[in-house]
Amino acid sequence: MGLGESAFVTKISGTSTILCQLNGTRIALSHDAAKNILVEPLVSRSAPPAMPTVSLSSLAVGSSATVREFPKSGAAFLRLREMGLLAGTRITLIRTAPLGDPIEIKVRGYHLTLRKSEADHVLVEKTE
Amino acid sequence: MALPAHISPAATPAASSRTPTYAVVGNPNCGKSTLFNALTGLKQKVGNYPGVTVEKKVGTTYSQHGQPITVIDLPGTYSLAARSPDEAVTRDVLLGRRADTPMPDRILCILDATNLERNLYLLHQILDLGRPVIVVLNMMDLAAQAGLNIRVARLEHELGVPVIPCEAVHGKGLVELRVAMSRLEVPLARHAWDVPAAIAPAVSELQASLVANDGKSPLIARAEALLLLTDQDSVRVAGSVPLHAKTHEILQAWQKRWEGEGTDWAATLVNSRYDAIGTIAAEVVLAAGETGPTRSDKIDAVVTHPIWGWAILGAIMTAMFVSIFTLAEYPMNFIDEHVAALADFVKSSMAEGDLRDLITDGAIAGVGGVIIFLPQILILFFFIGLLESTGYMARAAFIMDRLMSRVGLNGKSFIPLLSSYACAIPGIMATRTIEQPKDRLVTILVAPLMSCSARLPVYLLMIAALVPGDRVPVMTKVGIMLAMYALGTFGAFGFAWLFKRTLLRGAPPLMIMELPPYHFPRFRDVLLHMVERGWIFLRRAGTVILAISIVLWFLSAYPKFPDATASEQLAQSFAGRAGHVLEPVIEPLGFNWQVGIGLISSFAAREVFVSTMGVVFNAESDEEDTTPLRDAMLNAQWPDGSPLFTPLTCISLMVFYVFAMQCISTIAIVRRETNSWRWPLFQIGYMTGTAWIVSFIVYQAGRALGFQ
Repeated sequence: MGLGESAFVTKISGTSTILCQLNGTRIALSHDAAKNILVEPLVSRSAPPAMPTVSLSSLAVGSSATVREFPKSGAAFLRLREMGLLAGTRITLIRTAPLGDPIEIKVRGYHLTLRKSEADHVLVEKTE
Repeated sequence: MALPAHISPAATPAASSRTPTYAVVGNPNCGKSTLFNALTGLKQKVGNYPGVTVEKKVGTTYSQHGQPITVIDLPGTYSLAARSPDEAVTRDVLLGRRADTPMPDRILCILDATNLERNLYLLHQILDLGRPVIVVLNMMDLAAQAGLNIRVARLEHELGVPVIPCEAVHGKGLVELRVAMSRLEVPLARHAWDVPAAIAPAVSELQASLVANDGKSPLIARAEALLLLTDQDSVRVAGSVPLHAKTHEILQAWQKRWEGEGTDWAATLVNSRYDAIGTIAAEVVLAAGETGPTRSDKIDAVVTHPIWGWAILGAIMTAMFVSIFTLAEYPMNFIDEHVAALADFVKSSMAEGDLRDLITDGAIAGVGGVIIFLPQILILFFFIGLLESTGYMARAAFIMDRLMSRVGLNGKSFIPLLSSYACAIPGIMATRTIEQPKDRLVTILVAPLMSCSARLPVYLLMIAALVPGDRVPVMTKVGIMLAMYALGTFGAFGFAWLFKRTLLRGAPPLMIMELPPYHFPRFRDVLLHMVERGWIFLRRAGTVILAISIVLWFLSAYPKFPDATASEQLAQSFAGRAGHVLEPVIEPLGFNWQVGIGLISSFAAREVFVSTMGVVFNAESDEEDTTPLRDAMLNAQWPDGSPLFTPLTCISLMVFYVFAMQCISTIAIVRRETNSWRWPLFQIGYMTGTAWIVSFIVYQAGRALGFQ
């Protein structure tokens, strides 16, 4: 089916069934089958974004986005990561505080606040 | 309850002769305290972890056979990779790194069913430990409301540990939980997951070192290795056993290497965990699709509204203060009468003499003067607990954060500082919610500058002396009062800014905070919390106050002059002499030795100034009518005949009281909350020093400008 050695494959989603994109077609693999296929990850984790990335702090209220880039270091960012804000995570900007800072986002089913100074460093890609 | 086939029982350590100890862990806002209270009720003890300003909460619950089980409530945390002392304690207790708290036999991990993924992160780390774990899936009712259908049996299968669905608020699931906790054997988690290849060699090396050099068991060593990679052991607290130097060397070597290669090792690990969690969540949580705005969303739209939000905040603040100044009246009068009755009783039943005076005028008067504030303090604890329980507290922090961060503080400092307008003690005790120690300390240090209710009698007396008669409109008096409050507030924020810039310089506080859904306050939890805090205050402040009250009594009663009037006795006692000694220091502020005596006596409590002045000037007064005292004061003179209480002196005295630290109850509580005498003493120093300087400036500048 085209999944030979040196084939280029992109994983689209993977829970108990792995869905991947290969040469323009989509293939579904069971978890057990996929376990036996060894791949070498390429450097960029995701395909080039369909829309330009903007900083989280510049999102409009009510809009949703997917996190694309996240700073590597910094105590704040590690903590944010541990709380579920990772590359590929979907978030929604709920509101900004009446005085302008901090902002409130919805991520993984709960509401989180963070300062604009932190949100500046988080790059997201707007969805819809 | 038969064990499902896939869960294999494993022997727990030989603890069959006693019941196992449980540690309760979970995210903040997952209902952990409610569950802990439901399990242990009043059988709780609050202490301190030795050497750390983190509270140790231990309670007793009962197994289904009636045997006592010890339960430790560990501070809530989002991850075992600690970022604050509270989280470090949770991590250390679970890893068995604290000498004063043995590793608990079993772990009770509470998950909030409404946002399972984030909660599973902590559980994922805990399962690494390979210890017996029981999972409590709390807030099932809220999950159902949010349209989430959680397959509990599936979750049990995926995790390999018992999962008990609960609604701690309504008491549902507690019976099943007790049964699970009473089991002779609780399975160890079947928790096999592959550490990402990029960091696997580092994990192995660290694990090996932890086993060889720190004497850990292999599973705990692996868990600890993973944690070290996430937090680098950056937060260490007193009382926790440090790791071997070799282990640290290995960690540093790997970090350097990764930095050179550009590997984002921390993200790799966290991503790997969330990938595993995502897989589980996809199997277990069935969402009923996008639901509309929840009730919490609708409330938040109003609460954080640019106009309505402020109105609501103002309304809540007003309600708090009004209830303190009115509701508290009744119990305060009650206490007043009974303390006086007790003193009379002692007076009539004991023989005349020093011991009797010690008891009535020293101990009873001193302690009574503090207990009379208990109603106000309890009401404040109740309000703060109520705000916390409904979820509003987080919104208040969210709204005020911008203002607070201007001085380097966090929005969470707002409510503690606000409460200090009534009484600094509940405010200082409420700073526990501030995670970073430096920010918490700064808030504690400046809280007493917010003019508390004890200063009111002094302000009122001074204003009466300052602008006697009805010639002056009420608004002037109100204006002066407000000016004093404003002065205190600016002082607090000014010093906060200064401390965060100099003494307690640190990174600007993070404002990464969860906004939990609103819910109806859990009154049992609030009341339990209030009683617990009140008891801590009585125990702590009570002992210190008793000692100091007796000392102060002694200073004013000795040496004895049996034939002197009260005023003369006071003038010639040690306190009086101290007043004379103090005079040169306070003369530039416009005060004489008589005022000096007042300052000394109000070191214990500010409002004592009024009654002391009454004795000094031979004019008894009561709360409603300060006229006799006021007149006596206005007639007081310096040796050269000039009036003592000129308007300028009155203002100078008020300003002194705005800044000076004159409350041993507060000092006792600051001692408790900071775990040392250094900070309370520093607080006395900087506040009283500032009081002198500002008072000096006010008085001398006034003189220079030609005022009297």
